[in-house]
Amino acid sequence: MDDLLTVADLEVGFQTDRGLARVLDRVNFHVGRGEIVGLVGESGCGKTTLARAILGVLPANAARISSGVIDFDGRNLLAEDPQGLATEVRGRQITFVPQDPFSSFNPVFTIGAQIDELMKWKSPDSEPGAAARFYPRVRRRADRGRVLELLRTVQLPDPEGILKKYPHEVSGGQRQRLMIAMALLPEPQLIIADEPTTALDVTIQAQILKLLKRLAAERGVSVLFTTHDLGTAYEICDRVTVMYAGQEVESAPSDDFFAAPRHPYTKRLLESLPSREHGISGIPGQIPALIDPPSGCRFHPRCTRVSDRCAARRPDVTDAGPAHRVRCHHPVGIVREAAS
Amino acid sequence: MTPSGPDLLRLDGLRKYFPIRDVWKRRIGWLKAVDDVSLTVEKGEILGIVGESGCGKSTLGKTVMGIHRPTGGRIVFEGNDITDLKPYESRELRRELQYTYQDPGASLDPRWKIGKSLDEPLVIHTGLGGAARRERVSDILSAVGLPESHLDLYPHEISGGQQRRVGLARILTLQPSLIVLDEPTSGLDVSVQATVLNLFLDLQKQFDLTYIFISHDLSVVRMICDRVAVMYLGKVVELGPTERLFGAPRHPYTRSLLSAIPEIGKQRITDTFWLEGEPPDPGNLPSGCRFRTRCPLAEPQCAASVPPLVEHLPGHADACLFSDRAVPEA
Repeated sequence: MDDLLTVADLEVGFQTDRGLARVLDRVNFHVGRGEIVGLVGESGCGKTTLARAILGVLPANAARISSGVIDFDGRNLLAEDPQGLATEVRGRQITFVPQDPFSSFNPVFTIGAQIDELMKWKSPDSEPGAAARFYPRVRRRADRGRVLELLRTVQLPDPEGILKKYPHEVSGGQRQRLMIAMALLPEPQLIIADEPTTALDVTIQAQILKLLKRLAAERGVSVLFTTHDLGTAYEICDRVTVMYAGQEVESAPSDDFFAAPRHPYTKRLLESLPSREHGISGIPGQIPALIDPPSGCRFHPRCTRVSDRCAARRPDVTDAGPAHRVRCHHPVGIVREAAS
Repeated sequence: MTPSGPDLLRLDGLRKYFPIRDVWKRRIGWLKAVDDVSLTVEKGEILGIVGESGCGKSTLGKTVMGIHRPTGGRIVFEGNDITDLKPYESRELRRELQYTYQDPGASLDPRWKIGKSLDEPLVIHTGLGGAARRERVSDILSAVGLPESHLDLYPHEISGGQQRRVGLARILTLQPSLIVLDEPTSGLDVSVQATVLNLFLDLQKQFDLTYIFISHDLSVVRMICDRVAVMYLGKVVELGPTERLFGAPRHPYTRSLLSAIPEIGKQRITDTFWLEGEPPDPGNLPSGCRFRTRCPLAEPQCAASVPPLVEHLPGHADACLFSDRAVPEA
């Protein structure tokens, strides 16, 4: 098995005043080594919650993980001691690129000081868990060289100058390049990029996607790329998983996914992108409330192919081609069961 | 231009500069947010204004609306110069000319019910009685596809797509003729975006509206606009009919912008995109053509003077000296 990350039957809820919001409902998901996986879905579908569960940063007072396994490189992240994970895994083997590069830097410290702070704790040379009160000069010098080299790799002009600047002095695109550099510095195995280009303009987005794709390939890092934009997922992902209201509905290699979507939701989602073939078509109805979600397949109240079975039971995973998995009783384009 | 209808709105060399001040409040320069923009909006059309953040597209919309006072140039609406109206004069005009903000959730009063928000413009602008106002509000509400029960809800109780509908309904109660839509679909999911766009088109037919559609989302602009103006750092660099502009873009900036949109099923832009660098600081612009610092076609002449917006094909103008040349392969 060469999967780096496997999520099995993960169920996460949030305690609210009105009851338990069931945000993730038995989600199955995996990321291979060196693979870029897109996690696509509309707002509120649970993609950020899944990313946070993997990182282990769900709010402890509200989140309830009732069942499931998150297996990362042979260790179950849900069973281990959170303190150990914080020093050994998070920020070291799994790093994070945030959606908003504007609020992810501390505005009162220089960029250089903030990168030094990161390297003090998470440098690949440092011993995980060792007290980082002292930052030996030898290591500091080696780390500084590594930082400058990586800033050059992410095509930032004048790396020495940028380290002396404050976050507000650099543009949004440059800040996101810095974030990618900081995610790569600890030499992780998995980068979780949570909508990294949503806040950027299209021309900058194209540059950032190009950079992320190249660096992931060069360094053999896996990337979990969450996005609501199918177009950007098409650009860089090897495989795409679609979520709807806390359930994963379809997962397929990129080419197959865009050429032959099987789940009715995926198909409608692709059709609602503005294009000349389909005109402008939306999906009637609304995303369900997660306090009291629909039974069975959560898409069934909006689905055109719905039958009684859909409300009764959540469909099992079925194969719809090589590595193409879909969770639907009535998948599109597969031999139709007669009037079921 | 070949006007199919009479010009509803004409901008002549419109300018809006913001002063840049140092810590002592002394002016140390100008930020030219809108610089010498001339264009016309015909009755019944949808004019798209596209560009990246900071290019001045929202400032242009707000200046047309009178939210900003122009630094120079003329705004002519239905044949009348409305550039320097006094506040009481412009109040009459507000009925005809309306503006929707980017985030309707933030522009609705959180402590007012939807019904009160919809009623307010009628109280200000018309002398209608309570019953007539209620009738008008419920007509508009059904036109934007919301149930009447929503009148008693607060803004936080409805979804983002519905908030846009309310924002639009609020404007339509006054029966305006020109609406400036500022990023009307940003922050919406694609499935909701599609229904909101369809609503815009339906309402346009139903109420005989003219839109100025400000957006950074080129695929949306392509779907619904008749003509498109592309802005870069305060200047219109290309203006033309949607089909022609998207099919055969001429200005190198437009070409780069279009080649940056991911298109499913096409060649991946991560393999083909060629534009390097980021826009320069708008407070410290390069001389001549503002795109020349990033432009693959740039020549020494580009720095000498600002290229004018010239109509190379009927109705299709661009501001580039070398727009006939092909972009060299990256």
